[in-house]
Amino acid sequence: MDTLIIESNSKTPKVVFDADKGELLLEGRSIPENSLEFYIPLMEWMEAYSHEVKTDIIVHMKLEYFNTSSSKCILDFFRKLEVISKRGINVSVHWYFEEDDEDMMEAGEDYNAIVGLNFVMVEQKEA
Amino acid sequence: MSFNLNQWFTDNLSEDTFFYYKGSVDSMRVTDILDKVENIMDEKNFPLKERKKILNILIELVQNLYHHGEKFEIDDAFKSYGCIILDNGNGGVKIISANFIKVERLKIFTDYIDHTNSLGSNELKALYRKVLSNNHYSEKGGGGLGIINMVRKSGNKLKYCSQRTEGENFFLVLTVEI
Repeated sequence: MDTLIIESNSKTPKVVFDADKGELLLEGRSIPENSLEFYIPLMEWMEAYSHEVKTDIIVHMKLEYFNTSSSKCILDFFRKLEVISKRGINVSVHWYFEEDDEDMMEAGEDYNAIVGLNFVMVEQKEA
Repeated sequence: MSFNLNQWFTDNLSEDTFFYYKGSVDSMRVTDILDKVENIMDEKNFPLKERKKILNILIELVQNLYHHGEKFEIDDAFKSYGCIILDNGNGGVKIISANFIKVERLKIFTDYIDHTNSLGSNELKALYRKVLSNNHYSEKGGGGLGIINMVRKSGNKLKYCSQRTEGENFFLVLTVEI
């Protein structure tokens, strides 16, 4: 299955979904006015991937900001992963946040409380 | 007394104001506002933690104007007309966001703010998680999370006031203190 690569811009994150490696990356800002428009292609890829996945999956969530409409789309993304995990595939979500960024840490805790996935909280020190 | 937008705007600028905007809010303007505020905070060496909090809340407020602001009758360029003022005073940063709103939506909105303001931090967390996971997308996408998010992230109650303008329109002013 082809790797999905979308370059970032001022309002949408970089996306690298690598089916062969089982690694999914979202990095940058997710603040588009119409989040559904951005996330629908990602969910379509995830739907196809869910029928082919054979390896464990590691998700790297490295978001700097996300708006509330993105937050719903991100939850849908995690829910799809939850469905995959219930079939016996190991899925872990690495949630990155900068040192002292309590809001991003809390956001990860919120998702961790809602979805039944293994969350790993990764605090990144300031450079 | 009829509402005078320019007077209101002038009255709400102060020596603490470091950014202001008044006009239509389309997608490009949203980007422009966020970029400009970010650059100003960079120039003024705002601490990183504070910058992130301010931008998180500003994103919600500006996109609120984009999605919900009514047209200003003398400016036909775009449906969303809004005002943004950022102040940095001794008490911290204050963001004022204002837009026109129809009377039938005003009470729904202010009732929701009142309810959210009445909640403690654990109740806010629970409400946020409940609204996030309820599978409901509003036509603007957020499903009502923006207000909860702003109260949580600012750590303060949202303040608001409104004034009837013409016909069924009101001018709604939201203030967030960070």
